[in-house]
Parts: sequence; C-alpha cells; structure tokens
Amino acid sequence: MSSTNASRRFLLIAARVLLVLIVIMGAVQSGTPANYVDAHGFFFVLIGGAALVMISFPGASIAHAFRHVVAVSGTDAEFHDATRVWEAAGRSFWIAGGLGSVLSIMIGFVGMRTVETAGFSAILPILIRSLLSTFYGGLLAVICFVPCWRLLGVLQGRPPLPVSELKGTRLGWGYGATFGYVLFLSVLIWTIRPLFTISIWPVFRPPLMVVLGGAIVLILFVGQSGARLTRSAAFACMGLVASLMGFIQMLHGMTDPTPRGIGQVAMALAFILLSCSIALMGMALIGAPLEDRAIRMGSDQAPSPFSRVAWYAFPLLSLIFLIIVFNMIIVPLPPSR
Amino acid sequence: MNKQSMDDSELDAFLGRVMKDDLPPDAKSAMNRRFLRFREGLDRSGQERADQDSSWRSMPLWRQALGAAAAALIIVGFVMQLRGSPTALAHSIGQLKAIAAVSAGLKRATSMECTVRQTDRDGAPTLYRIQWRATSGARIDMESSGGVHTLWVPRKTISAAVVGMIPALDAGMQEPVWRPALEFASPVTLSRQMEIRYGLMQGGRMSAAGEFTIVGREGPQNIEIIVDSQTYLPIVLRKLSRGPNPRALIEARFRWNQPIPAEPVDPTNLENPADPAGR
Repeated sequence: MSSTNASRRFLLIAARVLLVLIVIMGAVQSGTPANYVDAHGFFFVLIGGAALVMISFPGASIAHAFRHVVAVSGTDAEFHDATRVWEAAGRSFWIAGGLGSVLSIMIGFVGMRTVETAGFSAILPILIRSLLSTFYGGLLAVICFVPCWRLLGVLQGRPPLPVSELKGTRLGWGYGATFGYVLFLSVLIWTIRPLFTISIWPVFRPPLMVVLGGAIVLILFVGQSGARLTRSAAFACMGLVASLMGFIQMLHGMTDPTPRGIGQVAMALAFILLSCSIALMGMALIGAPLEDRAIRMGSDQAPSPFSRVAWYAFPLLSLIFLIIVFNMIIVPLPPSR
Repeated sequence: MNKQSMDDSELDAFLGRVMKDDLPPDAKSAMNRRFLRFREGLDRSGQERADQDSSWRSMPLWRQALGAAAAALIIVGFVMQLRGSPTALAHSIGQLKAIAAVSAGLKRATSMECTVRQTDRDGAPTLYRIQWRATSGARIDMESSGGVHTLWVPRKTISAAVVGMIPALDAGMQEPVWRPALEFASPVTLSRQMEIRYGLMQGGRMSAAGEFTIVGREGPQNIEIIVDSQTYLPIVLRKLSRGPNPRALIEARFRWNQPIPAEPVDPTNLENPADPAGR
C-alpha cells in the first residue's frame, strides 16, 4: 500500500515536471526567448510583490506558508494562515505587475524626449516592456495561487474554525512591515528614477489630489455603513472615476484638431495613466495591508468582496486603459474641415 | 367542558388563586432588574438607529474637517487638470501625437510642389523643383552650375521607394546628384523619412502665425520642420549643421494640394503610353 502511494506520488511529480518542460519548450518555440525578458520589469514585480507580502504578514507566517507548501501536516489555524499568505502573495504580484506596466509606459514616454534616433518603431518597445510587467505579475500570481488553492482544498473537508482561533500570532506593526515598506519604496524610487529628470511633482499633483481626496471621502462617509466599502475598493473607485474623467477630457480635446486640441488630449492621457498608478499604489500600500491586519486581528474573517474585486479587476482595467491610451497616441486626430 | 360563563369577579378570584404574587423579594427584584435592562437595551438600539440617520452630523469634528478637506482636494485637482499647463509627460505625449498627425496629413495629400535648395561646402547652390501628383508620379527639375536637368519618377518607383527606402530602379536615379531631391519625391516618402530616419522626439514650439515647429536629428544634422497647425502639413523643412553657428545645408519649401497645370507631369509616360495622365 505504501509502495503504491509512493509510486503514485513519484508519477505525479514526474508528470508535473514534464508538463512544465512542455510549456517551456512551447514558449521557446513560439519566438525568440529574449523577447520575453525585461530585467527591470521583472525585478520590480518580484521585489515589489515580495515587499508587499512582508508589509501584510510577519516573517514567521511567511515561513510557515512556505513550509506548508511541501508538508500537508499542520493545524487548521496554520493552514488558514498559510492560505491567507499565499492569496496575499498572488494579489501582491498581480498588483505589482499592473503598477509596473503603467509606470513603465510613463517612463518610456518621458524618455522619448531624449532619444535621438527614434520614430514610431521606437514606440512599440515601450508597449512591449509595459505588457511584460503584467505578464510577469500574472505568472507569479498564478504560481502563488496554486498552493493557496491546494490548501483551500485541504481545508474544505474540515469544519470551520471559531473566529478566536483564526487570529494570527503577531498582531502589531512589526519590523517586517517597516522593512517591507522601505523595500517597496526603494524599488519604486529606483524604478521611476528616469522621471526625476523632469519636475515630477506637477506631473502627479492633479491625479493625486483627485484619487486621494476621493478615496478619503468614500472611506469617511461610506465606510461606516453596513456596505463596508473598504479602502482598497475606495481607491479603485476613485481610480476608475478619475480615468473616466480623463477619457471625457480626451474626447473633448479630439474635437479641436489644432495643436491646442493635441495638448488637451495629451494632458488627458497623462492624467489617465497617473490616476491608475496612484490608485494601484493606494491599494497596495494602504488598502490591502490594513485589511490583512484586520483579518489577523479577528475583526474580519475574510477579505471583503469589494476588496477582491478591486485587487483583481482594477489592474486588468489599468492594462486595458493603457492599451487604449497607447492606441490614442499613435492614431492621428481627425482632420479639420 | 363547562359551558357555564363566569362573571368577572369570579374570574379575578380564580386568577388570584392561580397566580399568587408570592415571589420572594430577592427573586422579584432580580426579575425587575432584568426587565429594566431589557428596556434600556431597546431604548439604546433605537437611539443608535437615530444616530446613524444623521451620521455625518454625529461625526467628530476632526472627521468632518478631514472630509471637507478631501472634498476640496478633489475640486482643486479637477480644476488644476482642466486649466493647468501641460506637464512634461503630457508634452512628450503631445509631440508623439503631433508627429502622428503630420504623418497622417502627408498620406492624405493629393499633390505637392516642393523647392529644395542645397548648399554645398563651397557655397554653390543647387535648386530642385519637385512636382508630384497622386495619379502620376513626380517630376524633378534640377538647376545647378551644370545646367538644368529633369528626372521623372513614376508612381511605381515611388511605391517601391516607400517599401525599400528609395531604391533607384534605373541608372539615372542612382546618381548621387539626385539623392537630396529623391528624399522629397512624394509625401509618402517624406512621411517614411519622418517615421524612421528623423529623430523627431524632442520638443517643439508654437508661433503666432498658427505654425508649430518640430525638431529632431538625422545623423550629424539637426532637423527643423515648420508645420501648418490647420492642415498638419510641413511648410518648411531645414537640415542644419551642428555647432555654435548652424547653417542650413538643405532647405525644402512645400505647397500642398494646389492644382498643378493640366499638362501631364510626365510627357514620356513611362508607365502607360496610351494614358497621358500616367494612370
């Protein structure tokens, strides 16, 4: 019996390795592998996502989560904790990928000011690098969701734990959270350093005011009601509202074919990109860590549905907006009659 | 069952015998205390519901101030966005859109007249006059110290040039003396030059005459293009030498979509001898 189980486990492992090899070969055969490599983007997504996990969970919980990937023994409370850690990791990488995409395209456009030999052939690599960040974020998120789903499957057959037993071991803001914030901000500053060649504060000021102010208003006046609009959802809502405002301004600018109209369109497109980036940063640095902390303290049992929609849908929405912005840049305005 | 009805006095006496008020004092006081707590709880929950109806008024002052400040932030942010000047990021995006608009304007052009003046190192000028029509091709007249020469560039050659960046299909076009003019042989050729060879990614400026300037680089030369803001078609294109005293190496002046004289651009009709218009 035990030998049958051991051989079955060996076959399962061999099948998984073979599947991974087939996927890698397919990726290699599909094109030049170097086309899928962007070191800066991958570095930002990997380190930034890991830093976001450290902000939300203490090191001991993260270490236990890694242990439970390979070992199925443990208490239900440990499994619950590990599930939360892996879900947070997947969410963090996904958000970091979306944020990296938006930052990458902004850095690319600002960098075009100093490019000597350029043309439209130089614009397409900007979009490629931007999409690669989302690709890396999605890939790492799926890798993290696999153990999460596996642990959820183990817990499904067991009775639910009382709330008192779902509390984590450390509830305060430890050194891990501080280190996570420092690490994330360091990676963020290192990534956006090309933007420091321009005066960066006027660039960020209007969208920061709109997104941050709107999120505060939503949290103050709606968060106290039974609907429990979470901080992450508030940032996502304001990011969406600000982006829609940018699209409306862009359409107004398109009615004016003169260079003034082009300026209006350009300002609107810049506003859309910056609003998405600020909303993503708000979710990653404020909304998600506070909600994870509330769960560890026992105030909540699970992330709010509003939060989950914000975490997983808004980065995808940002990617769609980014592609629309790129398309609107390379498509000329209609001619004047 | 007794169908006989009882009067009230008998009913009262019956109830009095069954439910005697003989609770011990401590039990009675405990029951009273519990009853009072229950009533206080009902009253308190009713007060909380009333408070939620007027939640913003019941907020502490600091939360009200924070909410007002946040609302003011939103309004100021909107106003700054709608009335502010373009930022560096918006300026970069605007330049890309302007170049896209110029490229699209060139591709829509139906006729072009261009005068190209080239000055060599000795200061001797060479003048090229280019006439292009979408239906035929281009005629290039060159005036130099060696006299006047004419080159015909059929439409098929121009189409091939768009793909292969000005390949010469016959010996005449291969002569280097025609190269400065072939760069402007058609609007589509010029558009390809702008997209691929000219580094037009730097900032431009707007003049009071409704023209704006795009600058860039092509190898050791600086490029300056003055564009009409109404039609997004180039008016003047200059290639300047670098250095403290830049001089114009090549200057091209354009007229767009003007009617060209009725006679065929190419009297030899390289494409179709039966069709004077060269279709």
